Amino acid sequence: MYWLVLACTAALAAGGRLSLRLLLDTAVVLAPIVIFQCVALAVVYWTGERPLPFAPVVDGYFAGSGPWFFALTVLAAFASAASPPVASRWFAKLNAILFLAAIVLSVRIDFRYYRYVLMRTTRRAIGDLVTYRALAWSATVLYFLFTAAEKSSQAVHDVVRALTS
Amino acid sequence: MRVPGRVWIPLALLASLIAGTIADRPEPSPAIQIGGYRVLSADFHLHSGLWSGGTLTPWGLVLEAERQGLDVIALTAHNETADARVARAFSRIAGGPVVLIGEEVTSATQDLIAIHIDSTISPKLSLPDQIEEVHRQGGLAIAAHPVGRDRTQYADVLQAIDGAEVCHPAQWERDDWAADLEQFKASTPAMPIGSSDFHFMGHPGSCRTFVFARDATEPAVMVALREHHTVVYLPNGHVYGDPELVKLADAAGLQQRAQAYTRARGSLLDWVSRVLALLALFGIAASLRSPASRRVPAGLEFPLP
Repeated sequence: MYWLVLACTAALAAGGRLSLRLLLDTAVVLAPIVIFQCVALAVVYWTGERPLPFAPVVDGYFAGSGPWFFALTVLAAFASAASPPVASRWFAKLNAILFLAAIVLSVRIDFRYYRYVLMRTTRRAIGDLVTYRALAWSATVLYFLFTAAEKSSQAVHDVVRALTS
Repeated sequence: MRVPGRVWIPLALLASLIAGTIADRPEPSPAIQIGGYRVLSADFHLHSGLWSGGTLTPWGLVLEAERQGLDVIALTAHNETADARVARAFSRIAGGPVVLIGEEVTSATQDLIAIHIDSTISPKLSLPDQIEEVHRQGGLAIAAHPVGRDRTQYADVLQAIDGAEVCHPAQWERDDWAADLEQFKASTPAMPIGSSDFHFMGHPGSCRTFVFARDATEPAVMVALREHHTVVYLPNGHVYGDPELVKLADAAGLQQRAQAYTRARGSLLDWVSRVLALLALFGIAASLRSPASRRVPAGLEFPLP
């Protein structure tokens, strides 16, 4: 389901509609992201308490993706319906706001998941939260941008400098 | 993960998929012949999804470009050419648009579009050396989105570059960038280029170049580009290119065509597909319940969906 939602939103943003061709296409490109997330969850799962089998843990974890799904769907609605001038001007700002909101909301959901479903201590649940994000998000960024790594690191440097100056 | 009791969600998705698939055909765009030229719609700056920051495969991008009425495209992955090679092989088999092997040579300070090249050009080379290497391989070097800091990096190579992106989505992001693009073009004899820099939204060809070639083949396109036979319309009504070609382009109604590409997209079926898909996606998002959102005392096993 997670993979399907990712592929649908990407197809809508890229093509402005949901067709079989676009859906299969975006599903292929975005498959590694789902794999990265499952691997990151597996690392978190296998390095601590395991009160449940892995399969229901994966199902339960992705059931907490509501904030991300809302953010992606709003972005897809905007990107698919807006004209290129409007989309270009506002997408980055909208993206930043929605993803920030999704991050904040998902932190709470994920923490509770590690704490109460995986029965981790509070300290360990915070560690799991950080570990999962570090693994899954780094892999995703690398997947999309590693051939432009130098430019990306320069962009991060510029943002940090702008924020600190 | 289970979506409970919402039968309408898969039905809406299915209906959206059917409508979108029916709409998923290239719009008829008859070949434009004028003044002895074949006018080709081109986009020389596209990114596919495999390691290039996009969400479509190289072959998917070829099909989407064809749907957007593009005759010539260049896939320009960051610092590699594998995507473009895959796209060209696919397009030759499928009878799609002419695909040029391209690369966006991305370094910390600026980006350079290289088209019609044989092998990857290293971003570690200096900008003049990158351009020289592009020429040595028989290709053309285009200044990519020369706005802000990127623009200043080109100060020493204004005579060496072959093309300058004067129409690029950056013009819509910031007003001063729109001015940057035009001022940069005014500072160089390079041919005008319009490119969408498509990654994952907007659409291929939202900014495009009209190439006046003898026919729709790769050699003819390269001859036309070397002779600077390009015309680019900007959304603000400005037009760049050889005045004689601009006259022909105006007569062929290309300005109206260029403006149409910057508007919101879609036929009725596109909109039906879009709205149904979004309804279904919102339905899925609203239906999800994490087992961790239920209040159960710590220590008790949670019922999972």
